[in-house]
Amino acid sequence: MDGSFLLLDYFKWHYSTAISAWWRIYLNLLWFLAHFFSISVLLGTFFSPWRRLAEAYPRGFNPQASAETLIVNLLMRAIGLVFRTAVLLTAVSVLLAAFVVGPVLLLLWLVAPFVSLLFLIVGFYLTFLP
Amino acid sequence: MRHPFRQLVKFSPLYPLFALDHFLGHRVRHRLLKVLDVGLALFILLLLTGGAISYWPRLAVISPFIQFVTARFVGIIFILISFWFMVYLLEAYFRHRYFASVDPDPQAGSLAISFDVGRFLYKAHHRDLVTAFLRSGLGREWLTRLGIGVGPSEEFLKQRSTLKPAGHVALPPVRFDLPELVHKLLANYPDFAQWLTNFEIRQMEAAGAAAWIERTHKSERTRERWWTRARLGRIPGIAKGWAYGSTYTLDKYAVDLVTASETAPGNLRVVWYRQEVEEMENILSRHKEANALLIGPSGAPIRAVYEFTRLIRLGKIFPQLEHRLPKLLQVALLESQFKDRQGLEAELVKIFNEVTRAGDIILVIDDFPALVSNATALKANLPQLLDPYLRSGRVEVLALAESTAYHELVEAEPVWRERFEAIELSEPPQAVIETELLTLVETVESRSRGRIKFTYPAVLAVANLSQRFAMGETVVGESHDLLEEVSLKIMQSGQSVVTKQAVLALASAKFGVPLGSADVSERDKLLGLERQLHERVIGQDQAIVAIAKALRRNRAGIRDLKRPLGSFLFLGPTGVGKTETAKALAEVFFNGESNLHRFDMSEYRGPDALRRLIGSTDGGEPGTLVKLLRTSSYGVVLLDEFEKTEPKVLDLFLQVLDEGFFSDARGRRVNARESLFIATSNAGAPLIWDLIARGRHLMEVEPMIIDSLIKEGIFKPELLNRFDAVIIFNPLAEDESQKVAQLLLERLVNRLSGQGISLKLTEATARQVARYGADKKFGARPMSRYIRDNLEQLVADELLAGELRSGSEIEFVPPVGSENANWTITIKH
Repeated sequence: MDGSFLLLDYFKWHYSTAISAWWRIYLNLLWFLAHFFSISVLLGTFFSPWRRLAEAYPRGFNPQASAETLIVNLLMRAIGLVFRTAVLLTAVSVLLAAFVVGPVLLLLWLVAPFVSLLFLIVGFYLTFLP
Repeated sequence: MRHPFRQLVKFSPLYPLFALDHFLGHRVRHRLLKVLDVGLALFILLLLTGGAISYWPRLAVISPFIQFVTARFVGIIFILISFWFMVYLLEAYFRHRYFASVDPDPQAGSLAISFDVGRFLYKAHHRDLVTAFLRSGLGREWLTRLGIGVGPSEEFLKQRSTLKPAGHVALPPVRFDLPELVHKLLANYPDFAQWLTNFEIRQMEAAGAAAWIERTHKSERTRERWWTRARLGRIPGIAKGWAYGSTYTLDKYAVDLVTASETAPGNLRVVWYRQEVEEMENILSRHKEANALLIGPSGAPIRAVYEFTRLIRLGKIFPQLEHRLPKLLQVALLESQFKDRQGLEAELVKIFNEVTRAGDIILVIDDFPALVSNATALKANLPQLLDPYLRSGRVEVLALAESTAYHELVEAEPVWRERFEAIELSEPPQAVIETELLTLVETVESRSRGRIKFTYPAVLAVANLSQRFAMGETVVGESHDLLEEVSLKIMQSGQSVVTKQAVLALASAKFGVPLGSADVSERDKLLGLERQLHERVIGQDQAIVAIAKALRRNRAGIRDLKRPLGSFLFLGPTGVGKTETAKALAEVFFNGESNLHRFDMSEYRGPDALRRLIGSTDGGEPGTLVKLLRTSSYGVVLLDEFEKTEPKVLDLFLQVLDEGFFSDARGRRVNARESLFIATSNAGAPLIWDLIARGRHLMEVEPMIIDSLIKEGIFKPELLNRFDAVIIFNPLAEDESQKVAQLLLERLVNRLSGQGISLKLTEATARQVARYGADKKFGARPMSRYIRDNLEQLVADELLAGELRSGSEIEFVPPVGSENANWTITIKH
């Protein structure tokens, strides 16, 4: 009696609330990936110098020193840009993968009870039948 | 289910979970998944091995067999995957339904039954719920947490004569959880309640342990929720620091709080400081003067900062503060490096410049008053140095300060008041401390890998003792220390259960104060205190009774723990037994006169009197009273000639007697709650003499004497009110003087017997010593001198003359006629 009640309640849950819960977990994982790869920070500081390493421009008119400083500062920004681009590209690839894997997992969830039953039948067939 | 709660269980939304847990328990599912993991790995390995072998030409003969076996392996793998899926899906079902129910909506209207109670009731087959409970896993766990073994519980169940079904047990109005179940059982089964009292378990403790178990179960299951943002947010991200500058100089003296707060001792979720943390957020989000000064008992500010850091880590913070990195500047470390003004100033400028440049640092200064004090000592102008940074809006500073030190060293400076917004932090209430301790216990237990287990009364004892003894630290800090120490001690001794007795024993040794129930000899001592004190003190019944009562109150555990152990002002003429009473008390109650600490208050006069007692800010000697109470606070503190000290010193004792603590010159609290303060004073002695001479009784003259002391400005009324009792010592009557003489002579008998000389005392000897030795003005005190000058001298002369030797028997012959006549001695060999 309790067994059938449990089974019924399980299936009700599997195809209703569990799907919304799955969606929340999926969003959490996407949030985590964005958080892990610091996407907002990297985009917000995309052109900033690497670790704020920048030289102060000289006072007064000194074109050579100003040019030197400009080059150094541009170089620092370029280094920062290269590193950030690399991380952002990695993040985008991982997120794309997550976008693809998400629906697949959902599909797997939907068929999971039947798949496990099917696997059981196939398994018994392969193990015990000639 | 044969009990009356079956309907309640059946209609609970958690009913399927009870059924599932009964059919396949939570732990069994976990083990099963592990077994299936191993099985799958094994068969996949076998399959791969079989596949590889079948391609080996030399084994072509057995190839059909291998193919047959590998096909079976594939089948088994399919079956294992199928089981794995089923168990995993059931586990997901359980977790989701369980977590949806742990915080039920009180508006829902239906009676909510907690998972633990529901599961127990689902499995309970005995009609008698006490039997069912004590034999269930939940009940066994509850017994362990109360320090009661399974043996006594089984014995109790066997001895129970009447078993009854719980048919009449009324349902609780809102939520039926484990504490509620325990309440119900205790209320409906008196024999069960009575049995618990044998273990000194009160209802509050029984229910508290139950609540703790339920909370532990919940947090165990919560730890499995890796998919929540709170858990995922703990994983540190990459590349966050690339946009910000480095702080090489600061890093020499600072720790990264984001990392440190994960492992900090007592890093618990501090719910108590929620409001203060919000204030910190608001202040630090400003564009200008984003600096806050956190003021509170030592240890409290840093705990609030840990909570603030936790919010940053979880991203649950204002967007302006996201990804910020709080770094804790350790002032002591910085101070140790610089002994001159220039060095300190230059380093501070470097640090603040780095912080300004870095852009993501929130500078947390761990002991701001110490920084201010040290800078002042080196003659550095700290306000002028830091003001430009603090007002710039380019740095955010959280300065931490202990309350007293803040008021003494920081508050007076206008720059600090202007640039910092003060946030006052209070000590969390006892209930919050207990909850935090219980959470910490979970950490300590899991760290010990199950080697130790705390009982609930033990944790309560830790909380109570910390409240009583915490001084240099916060109550929270002290409680955490005590908990760690006791767990370490228990592990070292090879035991596994931390009981209340173990905590009391450790605390007793640590604080030098007897704790726990009084044993038989101590009980006898307490009950016969008056008699024992009277063996040394003659007369003064009122004083003796008042003191004895105060000490019995204390030991029975009903005294106010936030005041000293006792405080008495002894008034009366000199030589009537005031000091002797204090000494007798130290010997009888505090195990020896070495626990009597005497301060001659007439020595504490002049402008430096207070400094000599509590120390000075310039880092010199700590002060005599501070030193004494820090090393041995349990004992009698005798303040002789109390009226002769400075008014400032009297004001210090106003606080000591009222709150049981004071702050030393550096603002650190000193515990005076385990000391018995006895102040003596001769003030008012002439009036006492006068009133007694006029035949007035001591009880009636007491208010007049106290009034006269107040009128003459000797003591303020508020100081007199702080004492537990003001006790008037009456001048000694003639017969009392004779008893004192008898006592002093008995001491001489003891001294002489040490040399083998036997002194025979007569009543006439004592009478004459009292007659000639006692003085109306100086009481019994001159009697000792009289005995020394007349009787001891006589013995010494005879010893030197060789007339007296070991084995001799002597007797003093009192002088006849006048006071000036000499004593003589008779010797028998």
